[in-house]
Amino acid sequence: MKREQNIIDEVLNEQRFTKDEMNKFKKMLTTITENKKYGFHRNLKSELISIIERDDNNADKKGII
Amino acid sequence: MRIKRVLFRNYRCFLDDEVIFSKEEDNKNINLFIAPNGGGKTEFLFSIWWAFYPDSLNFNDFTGKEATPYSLNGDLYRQLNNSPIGTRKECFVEIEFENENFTYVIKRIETFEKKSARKPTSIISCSFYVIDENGIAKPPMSDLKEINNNLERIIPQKVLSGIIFDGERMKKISSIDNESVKSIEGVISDITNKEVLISFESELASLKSHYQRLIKNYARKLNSLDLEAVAENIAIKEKELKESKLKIASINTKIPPLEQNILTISERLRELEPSRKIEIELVGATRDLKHYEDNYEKDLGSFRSLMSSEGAYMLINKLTNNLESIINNTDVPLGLNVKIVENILERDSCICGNTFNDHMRQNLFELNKKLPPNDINATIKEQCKIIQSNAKKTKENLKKLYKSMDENYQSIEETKNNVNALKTKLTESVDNIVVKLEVERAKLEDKLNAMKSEKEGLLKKIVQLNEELKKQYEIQKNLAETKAEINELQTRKDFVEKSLVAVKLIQEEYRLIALSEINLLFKDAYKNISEDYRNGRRAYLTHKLNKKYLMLTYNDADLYNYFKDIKGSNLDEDSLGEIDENEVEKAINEIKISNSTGQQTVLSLAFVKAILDYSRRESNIRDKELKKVKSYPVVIDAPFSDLSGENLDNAAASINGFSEQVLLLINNESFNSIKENIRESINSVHFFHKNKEKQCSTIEKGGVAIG
Repeated sequence: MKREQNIIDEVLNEQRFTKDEMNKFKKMLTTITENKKYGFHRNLKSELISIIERDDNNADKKGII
Repeated sequence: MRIKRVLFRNYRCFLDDEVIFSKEEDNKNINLFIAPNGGGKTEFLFSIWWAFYPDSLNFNDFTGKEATPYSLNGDLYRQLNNSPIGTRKECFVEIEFENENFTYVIKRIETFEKKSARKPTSIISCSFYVIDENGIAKPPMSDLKEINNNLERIIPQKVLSGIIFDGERMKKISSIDNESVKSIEGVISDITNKEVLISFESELASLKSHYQRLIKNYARKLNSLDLEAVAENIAIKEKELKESKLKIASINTKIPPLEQNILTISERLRELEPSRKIEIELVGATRDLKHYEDNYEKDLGSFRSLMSSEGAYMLINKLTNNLESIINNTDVPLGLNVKIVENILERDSCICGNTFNDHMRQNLFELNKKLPPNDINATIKEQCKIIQSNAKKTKENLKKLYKSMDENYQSIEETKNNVNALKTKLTESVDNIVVKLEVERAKLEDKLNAMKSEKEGLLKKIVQLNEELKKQYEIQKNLAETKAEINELQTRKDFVEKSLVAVKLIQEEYRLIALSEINLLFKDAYKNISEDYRNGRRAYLTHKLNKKYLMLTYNDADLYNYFKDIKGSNLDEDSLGEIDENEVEKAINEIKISNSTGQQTVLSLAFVKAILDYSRRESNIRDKELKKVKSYPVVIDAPFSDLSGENLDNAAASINGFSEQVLLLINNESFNSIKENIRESINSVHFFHKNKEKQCSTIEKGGVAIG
């Protein structure tokens, strides 16, 4: 059995996700997990769209992230 | 999750019962429910199921244990059925439970009503509220969808198959059929948090559609406006604009000299104006002179003509004057003529009254003979008068003519003098020059007006072209933005598609890793419970071949031999563990062995333990998004009935390790056979007393120190 695996990172790396894409993917997954767990996001789709459409490059440049 | 309290009212065989669970501590986690056969163990077990998910429970499945397939107590139901229309009966199960520092109370109520002569109808309702970690109760929910969403987060329906078992379900889960596969899959999908990945996949699919739709809409907009055509149109209009501006510039250079020429001509014409006036005056004077001369000639002609025609009157006028004088001197009474005398002679007397005698008559005859012919004098006189009159008229006419001739002559002289004077003033003839200049000026003015008109037209055209270009630029800009938008959307869609692929891969990877972990736990649990393990019997949960979950057993030696046949005699025990899991699973499927009822129960118990262990242990997977540590209570009805010997002892001894809270429902016999194994783990004991008369059971809490 594999030990201490980071499945998501492994798959995303294999699929040649960029750093921005990885961040977005993980943020989406976290949002869905939280939604499943707490029912936070009433409009989940809008939340996911805003994650996809967030310009992380600019955010990086502005020092937001 | 931990159940704290269960309250019944008119539910099945429990008319008015409450079970309160004390906190499980010091490894004492088994809550024992001891009941005789038919005492309500299964009813109790499924009351928990019903309280959470009533729609997934069918009372017809266990009608043998209760007379009616309704949640309402059988006797009460029959009473209601025989009651007048409008009668109502209500039953409920209320469960208080805690989960992650929150306390929840769910009350599932079913209200039955006799509405007609037919059987009573019912409505299920629910009350659900939360008490937070500070003990503050939140407003209760009554919306079933909202309640279900909350329940799904805390205790998903799928997981019930893994934590609530009666004997029949225990057998089903270990049998090799589709229902078993489905229930195992449900439990595994929850404890491996697969639902999150499925949700993620579903959301990504929805996002993909969203972006596809947007791209389609933008593409439609783009197709309706051809970018190249717009660019071509802009180029044409820009060229037209440039040409128009050039024309205007050209016209602007031509207009000032033209205006200057016109101005020069006008000035020259102004200079020529006095000469022009003299010339006009001279022309008038010359014309007048001719007029006077013509008149003079005309008068002269008239004079001559009058003289030749009427001049004789002037000559004979004297003669007629003499003749008239003679006639006037002749003694013949005026007006006396032959006729008058003859008329007198015909009468008898004279007008004076004297009667005519012969003598007188004779004299009158004589006189009559002397008288001139009838009125000759008068005729002559008349003629003389006519001649005199004509002579007078001729004289007057001649005078007039003469006067006119004289006047014309005077005018001729004066005009001649004037003409001569004007001719002296006028040094040159300007008429032709003026006409030429005026013609030239008119031509220039026409040209100027044409140019101005053309310029005005061009200016209007420029305004129009600018407006059209502005629109075209706007369209071009929109199109460019649309193209950019499509590219952006395409990038997003690509990312979503890429994410979809990744999610599927993660799902499969995670499933395989989780299943490998569950399989190890399963094998471990089987090892601890099954007495056959010692004899080489092993348990395996298939998950690779067709992704079907089946609990299989096999002989370890058979597996070794299977691969030895394939790999050759070099295969040793260590290298068996290195064989690919797909091959192992395929082999196990081929060498699987059947199980007795007891062996199936052992297998089911091992599986339940494995999934409960998996759900509450820290996974080897480090992805925080996929981690899900959950603890569920386990509710088991008569798990040991098919077990005996070592299997029974092992199962009983391990039951406290299944969960932090175990609700174990057994009969007296079963209890007696395992009590030594569980004694140290008992947290509470409840006895079910069967009331045969009332067709119900009561629950009584007993002391822990039993046996």
